[in-house]
Amino acid sequence: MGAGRVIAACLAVLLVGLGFLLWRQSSGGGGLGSEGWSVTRALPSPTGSDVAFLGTPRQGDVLRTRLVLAGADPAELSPSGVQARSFAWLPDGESLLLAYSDDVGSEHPTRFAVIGTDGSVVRRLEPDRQGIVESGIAIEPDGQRALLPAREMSPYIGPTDLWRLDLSTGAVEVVSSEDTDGEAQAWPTFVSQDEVVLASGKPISATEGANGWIGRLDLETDSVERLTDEAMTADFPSITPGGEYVVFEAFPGNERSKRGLWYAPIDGSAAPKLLIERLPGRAAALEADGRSVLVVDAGAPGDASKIWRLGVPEGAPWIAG
Amino acid sequence: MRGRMGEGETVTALTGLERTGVTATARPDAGVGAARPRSQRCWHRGGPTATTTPQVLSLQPDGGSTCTTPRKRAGVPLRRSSRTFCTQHGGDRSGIGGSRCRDPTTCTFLTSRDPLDGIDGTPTVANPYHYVDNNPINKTDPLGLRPNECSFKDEAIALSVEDRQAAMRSFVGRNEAVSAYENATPHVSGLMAFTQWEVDSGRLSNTGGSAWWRAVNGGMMLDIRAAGKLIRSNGLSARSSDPNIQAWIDYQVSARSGGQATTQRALWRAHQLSLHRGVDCFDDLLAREEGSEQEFIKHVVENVDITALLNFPSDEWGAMTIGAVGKSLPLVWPSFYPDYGDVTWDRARQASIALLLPDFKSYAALVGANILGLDSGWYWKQWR
Repeated sequence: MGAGRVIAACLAVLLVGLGFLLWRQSSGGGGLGSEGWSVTRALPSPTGSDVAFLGTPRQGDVLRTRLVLAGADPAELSPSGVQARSFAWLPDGESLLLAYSDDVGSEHPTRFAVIGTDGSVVRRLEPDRQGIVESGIAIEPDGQRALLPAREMSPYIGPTDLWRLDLSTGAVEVVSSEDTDGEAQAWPTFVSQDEVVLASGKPISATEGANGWIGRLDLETDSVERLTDEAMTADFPSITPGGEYVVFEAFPGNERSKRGLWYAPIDGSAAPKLLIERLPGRAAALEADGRSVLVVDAGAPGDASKIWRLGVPEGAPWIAG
Repeated sequence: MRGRMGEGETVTALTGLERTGVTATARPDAGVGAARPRSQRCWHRGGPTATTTPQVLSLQPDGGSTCTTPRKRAGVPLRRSSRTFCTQHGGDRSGIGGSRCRDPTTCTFLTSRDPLDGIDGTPTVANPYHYVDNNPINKTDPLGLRPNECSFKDEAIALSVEDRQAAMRSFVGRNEAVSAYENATPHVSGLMAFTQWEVDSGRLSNTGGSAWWRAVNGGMMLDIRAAGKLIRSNGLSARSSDPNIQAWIDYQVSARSGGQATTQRALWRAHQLSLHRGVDCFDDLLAREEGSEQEFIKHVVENVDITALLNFPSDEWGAMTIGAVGKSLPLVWPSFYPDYGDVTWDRARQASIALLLPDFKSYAALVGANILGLDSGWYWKQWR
C-alpha cells in the first residue's frame, strides 16, 4: 500500500470517527438522572420520590462501585473509598441499607451501613458472620431486619445462603442454607413478614444456560413454590401494590431476544402472562404505585447509562382492578 | 439501538399472551427442590484414598515447584488444577493409557520426559519433566502428552463479576509489587470501561448473562491475575511458560521502561493473546448465542483485531476507535443482553451506516480489512 493510500486511509478513519462521534452525541439524552455514570441497577424509593442506583463513574476510579442518588446532579451516597455491593430502601424512604466492602474483591467481607439520602452515615453494622452479598436485599415490612442472599468468601460464584440481618445489632441468622441443587438465589422481595418472592437458578455454566426461575419462599417452613416453569428463564422480581402479583423479567425457552416483562399471581393460581413484550433495558424494578417500572440501558462502552421509566399498561390487573 | 424511548413514555403492549406452564413445589421434596448435595471433590495425595488434602503447584521462576494446600472452594466447577495436578490417576503409578507417570509428592513427572519440546526462552526447555508447562493453574494434561489450552473454561465462567473487576484493578493499581498506576492507567482505561460495559449490558453477570462473554473475559482475567501473582512474588523478572501470562508481565515491564507506543503494543499483544485463546476455545459457547449476538461478537473481535494491529490507543477513546477503524464500521453496540428483538444486529448496523456515511464502503475498503481480504484469524496470528 503506497503512502498516499495510507494517508487517505487515515483521513477516512478520522472522518468516520468524527461522524460517528457526532452521531453518538446526537443520539444521547433522556433518562432519569444518571449522567456520567454506568449503572448496574436502579431502585425507586418506597415513597416514589427518589431513585437510587449502583454505578461506577465514567471518569476516575471507574472500577469502584458506588451508591448514588439519581438526579440532575447525581449525588454519591456511599462513604468515600468503599466498594458498594448492594442496597435497599428502608420503608421510610429517607434512608437506605448499604452493603459494602472495604475494597473490590472477594477477599473483603461485606459490611453494612444505614445511609441517609443526604449521604450521612446513620449507623454502621458489623455483621457477626463473613460472606459476600452481591444481589438484592429485602427489608422486612416492619423495617427491623433485612433478608439477603450471601455466599461464602470466594472469587467464584456459587450457591447462596439466605441471611437475616438485624438492623439494630448487626446479628446475622442463616435462614436457609438448603439451597436447591447448587443454585444461586437473588433479588428477594417481601410479600409479608414471613413470605418473600425471589429469583433462583443455577449459575450459568458451559453445559447449562441460565435457568432462572421465580419462587415464593415461606420463611416459616423454608419451603419454596415455583411460580415459573422450566420453559422460561426469569429474574428481577418485584411485588405489585397489594401483594397479589409478582412482576419479573423473563424470556421463553432460549429465545433471549424475547426478554420482556411478565407477571404472575403470587399464590401460583395461574400461569405467567406477558405484560411488556420488549424492554429497552434490564434489571426491571416496579415503582411503589405499580404504574411504572425502571429499567437500565447501558448504552455503548464508555457511555453513561440511562435509566428509563416505562409506564405499565393500563390493563394490568393491579391497576385496572 | 439507543435512545429508543423517552422519559415518561408508555409501553402499551399488554398482549395477554399466556404461557401454558405449570407450577411445581420445589421444596422439600426430592425433585428440583432436593437439598443441594455439596460438591464432592476427589482430592488425592499418594493415592486415591490416602487423604483428602488438595494440592496445587506454586509456580517458581526457575521452573521448580512446591506443593501447597489451597482453600477449598465450594460450589465451583471442579478446578482443573485439582482435577489432575498432584493426582495420581487411576490410583497407581502407571499413568494413563501408557502415557507419562507423575510423582504426586514432588508434583513432577519422574519416569519419563515430556515427549514435546519445551518452549524457547522458558524453563520448560531446561526441564523436560515439566507438567503442563509448569502452569497447572491454567492447563491440564490428562494424558501427559500435551497441555489442554482450553481447560480454563469452567473457572473462567465461574469467576464473579466482583473478582473480574478486582483482577483488573489489582493489575493496574498500586498494590502490585511495582507501581505502574500512572503509566498503566491511560492504556487500560478503555479496557476497564469495556469490562464495565460487559457488566452493565448484562453480558457478565453472576446469575446469568452470556456464557461466551463470561468465558472469554474470564480467561483474560485469569491470565491477568496469574501475571499479577507472579509479579507480586518475583517482581518484574517473573517468567511464565504460558505465553499469555508472560505477555501481561511484559506489558507491566514495558509500562515502566517503554515508550507510549511500545507500551501500547505490549498491552495489545497481551490482550490479543488472551482474547483469541478464548475465541479459539469457545466455539461451542458462541454457537449457543443467538444469531445476531454471534454477528456482533464476530464483528467486535475483528474490529479489536484491526485496532490492535494498528496499535491504536486503548484509552477511553478505545471504544470509539474500535468502532471507527474496523472493517465493519461503525459498530452498533447492543446496550443490554440481548437487545435485538425483531431487528438483527446486521440490519441495525446497516441502518446506522446509512445514517452516518452513505459511501461507507469505499472508505471501509481504504481502511484495510476489506481491501486485504483478511479475516480475524490472520490478525491475531500476528501476535504469536
